This record gives sequence, structure tokens and C-alpha cells, in this order.
Amino acid sequence: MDVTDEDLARAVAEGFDHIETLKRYTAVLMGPCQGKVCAMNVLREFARLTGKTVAELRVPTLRPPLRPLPLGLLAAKREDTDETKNPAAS
Amino acid sequence: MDVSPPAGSRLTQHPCLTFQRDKKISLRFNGRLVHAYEGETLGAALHAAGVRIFSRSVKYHRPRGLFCLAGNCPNCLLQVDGVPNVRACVEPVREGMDVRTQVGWPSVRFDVFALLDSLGFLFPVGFPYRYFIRPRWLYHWWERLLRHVSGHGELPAVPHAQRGGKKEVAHTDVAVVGAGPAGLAAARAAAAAGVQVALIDEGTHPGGSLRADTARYAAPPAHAGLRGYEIAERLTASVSASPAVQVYANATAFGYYDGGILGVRQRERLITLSTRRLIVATGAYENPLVADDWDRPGVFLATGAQRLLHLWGMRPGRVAVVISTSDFALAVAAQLLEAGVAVRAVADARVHLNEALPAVEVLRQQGVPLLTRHTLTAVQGQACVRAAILARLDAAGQPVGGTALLMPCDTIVLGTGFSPANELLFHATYKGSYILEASGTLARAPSHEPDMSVADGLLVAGNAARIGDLDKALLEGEIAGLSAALSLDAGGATAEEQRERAQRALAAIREA
Repeated sequence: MDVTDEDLARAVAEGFDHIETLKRYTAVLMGPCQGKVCAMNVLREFARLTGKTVAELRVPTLRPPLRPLPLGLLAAKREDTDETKNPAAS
Repeated sequence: MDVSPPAGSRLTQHPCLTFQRDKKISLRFNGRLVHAYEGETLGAALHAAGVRIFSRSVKYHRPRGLFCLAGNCPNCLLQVDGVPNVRACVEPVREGMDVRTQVGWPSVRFDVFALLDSLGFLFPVGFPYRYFIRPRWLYHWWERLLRHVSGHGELPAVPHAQRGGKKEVAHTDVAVVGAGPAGLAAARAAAAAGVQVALIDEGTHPGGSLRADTARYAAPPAHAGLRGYEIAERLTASVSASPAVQVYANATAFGYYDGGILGVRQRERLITLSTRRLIVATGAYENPLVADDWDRPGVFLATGAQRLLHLWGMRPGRVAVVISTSDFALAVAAQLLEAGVAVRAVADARVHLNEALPAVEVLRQQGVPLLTRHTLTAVQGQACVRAAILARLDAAGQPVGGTALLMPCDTIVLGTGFSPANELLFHATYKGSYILEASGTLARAPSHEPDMSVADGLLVAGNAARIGDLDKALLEGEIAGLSAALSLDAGGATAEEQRERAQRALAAIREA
């Protein structure tokens, strides 16, 4: 977050010219939006800085969860579901 | 300084929409009483109350306001009833909500730490890896300070595990994620072909981006002449009428796991949905144009401005400048005008505009300057937008020096491209390629077969496959739904024929 184009340029110049290492060094794409809003802009800038073509681009590995989840929910007790319950009720 | 709220942010009249404002609700924002109406989101209600700064950015403490209105960006995170990092722009209002900002001292509007914006040179990129590492006791203190200053909220007093949450297991034949036009078409087609369908959507009501769309559609023939939200209502009605479709509203499919397991969170329920086929119809994210200080409060994505206008009947501001790279942005500019927002100018990066577009006719009639070959280069204003700086583009698409135009305004609307929101596909496979769209936006498109399948048991449809129009989305959804059903030995010859017809219609659109 709060990563500027100067930050990206400096990081690439320091040797972080692979998207995975650039992401970990600058923390770009790691904020609350997880790249939803910014990924394409970041990739385009990254391509410009490293001279990669569009075909050579890839987004860092995407992992679940797509949106933040409370750990407490993952740890919740499982209930046996009655299949006839209406799932739309919420 | 604070921005005084535009006189009556809430629209009382609109050419084609009426807004449900029956039940009044009161909530507290940083102790201050705010009135809202049931059905509004917290973000919209606060906007109507004049709130423009919702948070501060993590490092530089730059003021941030509503931007995407879709729960995708980090600007509107607030602490609600003790729970941190709630996305105000998608959180429905409730009576008695206690809402607090999470960052800024002494307040989010007057934040001492905003000084960091000028002290950036003290914290160059990578500084967390270098500063205060030793001695160790200092590092832990430093980390705690950073955590506190960055404003990610306080942990709730009651641990989540004690606040109640349920885990459930469910099964279905075909899971469709996303109830926009593509998802609704897929669910309807699959159900009609004879399989059980689970339709999962993050919104409270199905319809996706169509719900906020007031544009009239000429294609496809079945819906010609209808406005976007009317088409959404029709599609939703036909899906709700189908007993084979179970709709999960307010549900986020957060992951696709081995063995066909879809993880779904529906508020405080965690559902492990076991599915035989998955259709990803999650639509697209709108992408901003990056310019100097483009993150100021008052800058909105075009879909965000559209949602504010049409879902909750609120003006984003008084005077807007629209930055465009596509016909969609022009349509939003016309919609802003219809709602009583003054449009100072439209800066479109393209060379020619389609003068036959209804939106262009409206804009020209109202005397709005349509500046082709222009773009945004900077935003003026600190706590909020005060002006947009536009510049002409040369043949290579670069701003030409000395052509800067200053446009005073309080709102900037960015309609500068979309990219497929298809992360869910990449939990299971990596078969995608990047393409540079004509509008200059970059998009990751999954490679899919003519039957819309991406990999075993995994299909895609609509904007999640590739950005396109409504008729493309509806046809792809139909093809995906039928393919999913056919692959489960349902539907028979009727479904095969229907799919072939849809594929031919899709090919005809592509060639057109």
C-alpha cells in the first residue's frame, strides 16, 4: 500500500525484477485490495520497467481466501445440515 | 479544510428511478448522529451526511474517500460495532450502528501523521526490512508502533469465536459464482436442462452490475429497448421461479479447493459447497487511471459513481470531470447530467467518438465539452478534489507538454477500463494469457474452449472471461450453463441444439 511508481522503479533497480520478489519487497498487491483495483496498473508499470512483453507477464500466485475471513469462522463448530433448509435466508 | 456537503446529496427526483426511503435509521459516526434509510449502505449514508474522508493510507496517511463502491478497494474501512476493517461501501446500515474511523490522530480529518507524506524520503521502499532490526527489543516496539499508526483497526473486545458462527456442508451439481447477466443466464440454462444449481452472489440482490445500469439496450432482441436494471429484474425473476436453483445472497465464494469444494462465506455461516461443476461468472474490476494525486477523496470509479447515483440516489458531487477511454464512461457522464450533476468536461483518450451514441447526443446537447485525445495528468486538492489537470495526448498516447488544462471541479470520475475478476479460476488452474485491450488496459483472459470450459469441471462466462457487452455475457452464460449440464449427462438433444444456436449467435457478434 502507498507504493508509488518511484518505489517500483527503485525496487526493480535494486534487483527485484521478478514479480514475486517485487511484490514481497515493495508490498505492492499485498494491501486490503489484494490487487483487485491495482494489479493491472502495477503489471503495466512492471512491464515498462523491466522491458517484458505482455505475453511474458504473470500475476503473482493467487491463493484463497479472495476476501478476508475471520479465523473464528473457519474454526467454527460444524453443524450437520438439513438439506431442505432454505440457504437463501440470510 | 473540511468540505461542506453539497446541498442535498440525496436525489429526490430522477428521470427513471425511484428510491426506497421508507424506514429511517439512525447510527453514530465517531459519536455524531447520522440519519440514513434502510437499504442504504454505510458508505452511501455517510456520503449523504457529508463525510468525504473515511480513512488514511497506510504509510503516508493520505486522505482517502469513497472510490469503488464495490467492496474492492481499501479506502472505506471502518470499525463497526467493534469489528475492524468493515467495508463501509457494501455494509448495509442497521439501527444503532456504532461506527468509528480507524486511523488518524487526533482525527481522520486532521491527522498529525499526514506529515509523513512529506517525509517519504525517510522511509524508502523496503524500509521494513532495514530499520530497527537490532537491537531486538527495539524492533518489537517499533513493529507495535507501526501497527498502531497504520490504522488497521483494533481487535474486537469479544473474540470472533464467541460471537457465533456456523459451518455447514452443502452439495450441488453446478455452482455458479456471480449473479450478474452471465451468471443468471448460466443458472437459468443449467436448471432448465435438469441439474441442481447453486447461484452464489456477494450482493443482497442478484443482477450484478446491471442493477445500477440505466442505459437502454438494443441487443439482444429479447431485451431490446429495456434498461439494464429492468433486464436484471427479468433475469432474476426467471431464476427465482426455477425450483432447481438455490440462490445464496450476501455470499462470497472465497476459494475453490481440490475435489470440487467451493468455500462460501455467507455472513456468519461458512459453507463447504461440494459441487461437480463450477461456472465462474464474477464479472470485472474497474481499473483506475493513475495520475498525480489520483487518490484524493472525490475521485470515483465510473461504476462507483453509477452505483451511488442509481442504487441509493446520491450525487457523488456538484461538478464533475469525467475521464474516459470507452463508451461506458460516456454513458456514465450522461447519467451524471441526468441526475443533476454538472459535468465540466469529458476527457476521452480516443481520437474519435461515436456521435450516434445516445450519451454523446445528450452531452453535446447540454454543451458539455468533449475533449478527444485528452487525459488526466494530475489532481489538485489535498483533503478533496479541487480541480482536474488535463492534457492532450500525442499519437503515441503520451501527454504533450504545454497543453495542460485546469478544470475546477469537486468530483473526478474515472471510466478507464476493466479487467476480468477471475481469480477463482486460478485457484484451480493456470491457463491464462494477458492481452492489451484497445483502450490501453491490460487484462488477464483465461483460455477457454468454445463450450466455455477452462479445465476439468471449470467453466467461465461473461466479463470474467473477457470484457464485452451484455449480449456476449448472456450468450456465454447460456453456453456455460448448458455445457455444464450436458457434461453431467443432462439436457439431451434439446440442450445440444440450444447450445449450438447460442454459439452461432456468439460467433456472429464477434464477427460484427
